Amino acid sequence: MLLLNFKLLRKSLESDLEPRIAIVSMIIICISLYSFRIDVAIIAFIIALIFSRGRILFGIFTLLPLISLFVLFSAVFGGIKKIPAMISLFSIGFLIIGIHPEEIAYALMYFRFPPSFCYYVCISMRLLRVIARDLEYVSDCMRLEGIRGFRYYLKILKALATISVLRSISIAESMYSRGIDLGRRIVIVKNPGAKDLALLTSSILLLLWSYNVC
Amino acid sequence: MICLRNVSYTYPNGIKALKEVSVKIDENTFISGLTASGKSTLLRIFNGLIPNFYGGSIKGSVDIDSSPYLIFQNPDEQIIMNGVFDELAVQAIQSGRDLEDVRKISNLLKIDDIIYRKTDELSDGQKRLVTIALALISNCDMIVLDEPFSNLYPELAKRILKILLKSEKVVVMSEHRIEFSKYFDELYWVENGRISSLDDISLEKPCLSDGCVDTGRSGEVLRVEDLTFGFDSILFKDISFELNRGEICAIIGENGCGKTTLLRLIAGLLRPWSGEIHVKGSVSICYSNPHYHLFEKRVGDEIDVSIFDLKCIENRNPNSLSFGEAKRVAISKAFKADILLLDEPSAGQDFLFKRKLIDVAKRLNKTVIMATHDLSLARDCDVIVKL
Repeated sequence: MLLLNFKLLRKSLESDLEPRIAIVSMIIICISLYSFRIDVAIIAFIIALIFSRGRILFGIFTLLPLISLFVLFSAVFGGIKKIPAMISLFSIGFLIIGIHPEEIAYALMYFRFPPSFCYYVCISMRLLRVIARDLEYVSDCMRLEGIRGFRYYLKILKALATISVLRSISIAESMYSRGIDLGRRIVIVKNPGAKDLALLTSSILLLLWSYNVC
Repeated sequence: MICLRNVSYTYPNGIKALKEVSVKIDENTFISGLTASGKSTLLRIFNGLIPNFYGGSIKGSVDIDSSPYLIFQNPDEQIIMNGVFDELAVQAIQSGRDLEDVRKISNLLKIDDIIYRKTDELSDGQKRLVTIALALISNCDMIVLDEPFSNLYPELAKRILKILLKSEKVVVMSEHRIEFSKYFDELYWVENGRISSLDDISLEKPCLSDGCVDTGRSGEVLRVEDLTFGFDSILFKDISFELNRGEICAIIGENGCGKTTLLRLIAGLLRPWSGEIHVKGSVSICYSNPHYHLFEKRVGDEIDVSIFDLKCIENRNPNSLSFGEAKRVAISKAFKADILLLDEPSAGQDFLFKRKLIDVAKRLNKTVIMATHDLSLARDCDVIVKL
């Protein structure tokens, strides 16, 4: 039976890209994917694969049940040609999700987004990691209890709901008790490296190419 | 300064947590009491979380000069950022301090080696040190700690306590381990929502109860041979020990030495680098966070409430319990297996439960392996493994 592999999901959440470059590149690649051409989608997937050093595969593998569901619905409703673009979109998303949440927040603040919005993004992304880790432990306990099959998925869903609520409350409580001011702007940036510039260049080239072939 | 006069508090779900509490706090204060007696509720009133965040009904007069910094019982619940440095930096900037202060505090607490690590990768003890660093970085005049040392090795706990007491802040600490009380000026005991002086309480360590006689040991159930493991680097090397049915083993060691990892290895959740683990019988694990184990609507649906006499909370939702109560339920659930792996079972537990845990394990002839920092609990075990 396929157990959800939260260990792999956590492995996919590691990226050393410079967040500002990653955000801009992701937007550019998303625009390119809007052509829904299969060759553009394949190149976008390869870019994500290279710049995540293959880690997106862990994420894709973990999300296989979700992607399978998506493929099924696409086949039923006649959107089968859009599947490669959607898978590439997932992959590009993992490039961003893998970056430290606070680095994303600093980058958004750098781009002059309202600080409170940046904190919300940061906390949501952090919550994703915390929940992935929590579910890994819960999954461990279920394995030891010998819970399998439908009951496993049911319990994981229950756990997901419970842990999401509990974690959200505890983070809210912590922020309240610590007097965190969501209006305060904090910008700590690192300089882009050669890898980041290569990502930006390849995404611009992809955009130009997709614009030309359309 | 904090002054409470005849304060009674009832949670929104109708549970009366405090009754007519009067206390004045203007110097270093130690608060102890039985599990679920109202200590954490009291500390949340000091911080203003009750009633502002929790709601509920509060009666009596509460005077607080300036809101103190509260360190939660579960360090995992306090950390909001992904990186240790960012966590400290955000607190420093929020408190109007510069990043140089982050360096000074991390030097003081000797957490320089973890400052660039992800908070998710830290052990509970290391997370606890981060939360204490946050408190020191904050500009609050008072630090309120809710059972801060259950995740820390005793030597380290003493060192940290001395650092806190030397800071120019008033320290209020709730703790089950009475041995820390000697460092404080004011001592209080909380029981059934009422507060009294700790001097008026006689604490006698209970003996093995009549019905909990050691049933003797028979047959080897666990053998660990030359176990070596690590993640990025080696964590422990050539660990060997064996346990018979009914034996209780404590794994002790400094923070981050791999106690929880050893439990996970024994459970078969991780694969050792080298060495072998032979287990006979079913295994259950109880992590330090009890909420990893509790997903039913009623406590009675989760466990056999008779094991630890938890009949009084049988109909409660496990998520509405205090940390200590939830931990007891999670430990009770682990008793379904032959071999119990318990991570910090004494966290949030009073001295009565610690004794009872050993009594019940012996009565039911269960093999228990516990990772703990509580040396008084470890001394009551049959085998001690030091990492």
